[in-house]
Amino acid sequence: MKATTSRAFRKRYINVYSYADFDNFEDFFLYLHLNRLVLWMHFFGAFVSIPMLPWALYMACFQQTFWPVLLYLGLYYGCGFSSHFLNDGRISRTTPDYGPSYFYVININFRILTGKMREYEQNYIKKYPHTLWLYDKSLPPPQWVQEREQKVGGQR
Amino acid sequence: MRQIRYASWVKPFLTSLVLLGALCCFFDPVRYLGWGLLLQSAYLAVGYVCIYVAEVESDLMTEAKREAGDWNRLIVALSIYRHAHPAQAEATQRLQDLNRRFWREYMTSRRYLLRSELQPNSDFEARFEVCNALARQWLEQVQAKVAQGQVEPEAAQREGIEAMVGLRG
Repeated sequence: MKATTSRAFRKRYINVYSYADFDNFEDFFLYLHLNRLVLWMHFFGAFVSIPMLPWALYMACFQQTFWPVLLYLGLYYGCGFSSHFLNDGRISRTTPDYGPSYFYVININFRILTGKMREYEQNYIKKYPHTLWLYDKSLPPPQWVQEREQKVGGQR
Repeated sequence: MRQIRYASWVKPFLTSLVLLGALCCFFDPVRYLGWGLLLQSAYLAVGYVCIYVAEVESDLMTEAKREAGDWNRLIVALSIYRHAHPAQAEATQRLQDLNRRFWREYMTSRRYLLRSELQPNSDFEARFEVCNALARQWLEQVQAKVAQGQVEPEAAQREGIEAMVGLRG
């Protein structure tokens, strides 16, 4: 979904919801990746870097040239991590389930490619409407967030 | 068998990616790109399988929710409660953790018993009924706790999880 709140606002509150607030890790993972820009940066990084991997490995193993591997890592992981930092102000918090999160990234990337992302997001929106205030400016946040925002004079 | 509808261009796109990758493998300057495209195809194929598995899982979940009650509403209620009552946030989080664990155990037991149902053993059928009854009981218990504002987990919740795990024994 398109995030209408500010990066600073999302940075302050994205960690408000944790794994405990969701039915499963997949839903929590999607919550952290709802921002469309984050999704597209992940997609770009994976889509561009993967065809490069065999060449990068060949260069490293047989030519002792390591910059292609670094380029691959920079694209694959760099795009992912920097997308969170640039768009939501935090780096990924999926460490406890880092292994399974690979499959969710693959799942999401395939959905983006095939146009199945909207349906996936709609299911999330139906399931967890109370979390959307973080990304959607028009939705009211919980009372304590409103009070805190008034105190600090933060911009949504 | 579950069918997922994709746009008409998806299959030709994936096929041409495989063919292009295979073709490139025969020519030296683009050999590694060919391997890369084949790897890309494999990556996308894994994506296809991931979505298929997720959809099948979602069907199982829908069926389970029909039988045991929609526990998603409880998850949302707990989450909203935690943010509406910051003083009880820690207790609510403990209950949320137990709640999530319970439903994970429920799905595991349910799968175990459904698989075992194939064997002619009436004991499993009885256990399956108990499994759903425990789930309904949990749902009522925790919903009542949230409604009364007493979210501190109690022994009954821990026993509920143990009973659910015990069904697989």
